[in-house]
Amino acid sequence: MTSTGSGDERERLVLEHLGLVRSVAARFKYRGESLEDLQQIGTIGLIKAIDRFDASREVKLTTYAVPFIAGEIHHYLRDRASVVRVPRGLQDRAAKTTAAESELASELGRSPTIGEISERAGLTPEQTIEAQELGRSRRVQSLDQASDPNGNDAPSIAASLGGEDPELETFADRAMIADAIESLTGREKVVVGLRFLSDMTQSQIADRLNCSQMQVSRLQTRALRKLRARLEASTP
Amino acid sequence: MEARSSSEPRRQEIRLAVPCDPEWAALLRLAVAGMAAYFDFSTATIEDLKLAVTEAYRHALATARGASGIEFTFDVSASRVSIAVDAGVPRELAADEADVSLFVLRAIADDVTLGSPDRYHLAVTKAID
Repeated sequence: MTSTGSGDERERLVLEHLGLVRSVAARFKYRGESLEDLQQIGTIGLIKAIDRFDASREVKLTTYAVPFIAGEIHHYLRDRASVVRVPRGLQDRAAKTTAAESELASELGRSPTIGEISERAGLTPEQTIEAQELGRSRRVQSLDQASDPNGNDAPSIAASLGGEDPELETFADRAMIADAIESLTGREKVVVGLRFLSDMTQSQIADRLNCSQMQVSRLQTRALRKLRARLEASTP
Repeated sequence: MEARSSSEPRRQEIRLAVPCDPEWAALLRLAVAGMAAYFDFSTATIEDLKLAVTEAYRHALATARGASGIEFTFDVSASRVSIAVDAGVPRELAADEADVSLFVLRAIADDVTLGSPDRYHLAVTKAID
């Protein structure tokens, strides 16, 4: 079933792929944890990937292992983040405002106002603003921590994309791309620019925009879909 | 700010001076959210304004070195928000960090203007839909 066979073989594969673990761990180096710790956690993900790898599938072990390594580090960081607690009342208000905002956006077909969210959530406008700003904070962080997005250990665009956008590299015409980028919203432009020009990871962009990595992922997916549609439409 | 009337709120100018320490970005974000809520802007617009004020602050911290504080002047109306940032010291040549801030600001705002290098000044304007 797996290609790993004996314990010796597994150990050899682990040692061979420690460079990959270092590369993936480097994406998370601005999250307040030591790189050495992240590499150790990432190695656990690598071992899980090796144990589950099926060599009969036409996928390289390196490609297969990246989500395991990144996932293991994500889980670790999520558990650690809970150490810094937002007060319970603020957490509850943040949850209420998030739910109200989501419901109203769906009902109204537009971004709701603070007044509308406050009324739906049963909060004062001040409580809503505070909950939106502070209740979603995942941890205390200095702005300076994200000031070096071009670190030497930053993974290549191809490595960090994980194959989600294999066609983008074929679009060589920069003028066409610039034109297509104009079709994006401000936030979509920010995400695409920071991701592909400044080579920041989704986690680093999320820190910068004070939102979740999931929101950045959604914005990036939407932006790339728009760009692809626009570029395909203008390509003969 | 004046109490709200039933008609559309009129244009307001608000000034805020903060120390040169990035921890104060939270205060700026709360303040700009409060102003935007007063004008009943959408949450999407409020998020853009919070990002704009944070990036403007980052830019000032990166290039207005030696300043004793950063002064923000918000000119807010129902149709437009302008943020003027002044530091009272010369503006240093742009660092990478400042370039990233300018990129973000230009993506989300309608006009971004840097003053002369002699005295730090940054102006950001965003039209409200």
